[in-house]
Amino acid sequence: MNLALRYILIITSFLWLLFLIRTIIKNKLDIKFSILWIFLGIFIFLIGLFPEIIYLFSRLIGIEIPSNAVFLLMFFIIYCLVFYLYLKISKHNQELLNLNYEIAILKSKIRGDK
Amino acid sequence: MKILVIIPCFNEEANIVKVVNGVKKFNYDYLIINDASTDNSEKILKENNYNFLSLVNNVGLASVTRIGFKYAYDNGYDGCICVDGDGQHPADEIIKLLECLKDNDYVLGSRFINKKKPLTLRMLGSEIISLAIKIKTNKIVKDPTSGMRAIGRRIMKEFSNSMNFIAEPDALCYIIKKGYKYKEVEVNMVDRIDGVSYFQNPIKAIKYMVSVLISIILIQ
Repeated sequence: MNLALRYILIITSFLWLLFLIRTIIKNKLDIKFSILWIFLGIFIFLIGLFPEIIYLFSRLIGIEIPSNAVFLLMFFIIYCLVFYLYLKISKHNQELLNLNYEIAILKSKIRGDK
Repeated sequence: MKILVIIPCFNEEANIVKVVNGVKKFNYDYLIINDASTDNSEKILKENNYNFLSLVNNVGLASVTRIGFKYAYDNGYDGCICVDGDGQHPADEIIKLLECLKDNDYVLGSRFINKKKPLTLRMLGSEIISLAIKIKTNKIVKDPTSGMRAIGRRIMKEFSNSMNFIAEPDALCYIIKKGYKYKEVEVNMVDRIDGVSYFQNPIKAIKYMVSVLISIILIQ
């Protein structure tokens, strides 16, 4: 992994962590979800600091260029995150439907009382 | 037997009064579910003092029928029957389905038991879905896309808790797979009185076909 990529990883992940903590303090991001993102930021930061982690990983699964291992890893993590979001959306859809039902029932009761 | 007639209604200001009056003539309990219509449907329902639920957001037909099943289950009905809000299903055919519901869990109103399907693109789609159900369950369903169906309390309970279906055909496939008793009954349907069908839009029709087929083959 060349020096430029390492610097990019270190600097962007550092800025990312700062930004993240600011959004949490400002109450924009639910703290439940923030833990995951903080870990991700720290992980990228560590990769930039100690590229040996990536060298070891790429040797283990037979990737010749270590930076490709970084991309693969990131791709995988993002894949998981997006799927997690889909799960959340599905759950919210169900919850919304139930709310919709309850509100409709209440509305019809109010109509009946009039 | 306590029976509820569920009438989903989305932008049906032209047809809904005729449909509901048809059902009322036979003294069935009924529930209209207004899926956040953007036209005057809600006003018409209010003015006529019908029994209806009005949803806050548009949730789609599958979810609307699920809400209907939940309502029927919560209110202790023994069975319920779906009738389209566009007037395709004449109210005098309801009795045919109810007679069969006594010893079946799921009764499907079918257009093509003795009649041949007309040669249209739409019927080609219906034929493909029939074939998929045949492969999956080894049962022949003549009119899998029919929206007129009656269900008993056992299925009502299952559907109201969790219903992960795209439309009627894959729900039917699930029912057959689970070993519930189902029956197809010949009914007459009329062309819609007014308004346009959902399948006029070719992209929507293709999306429907693909997702229903995937649901039947891989999931149910």
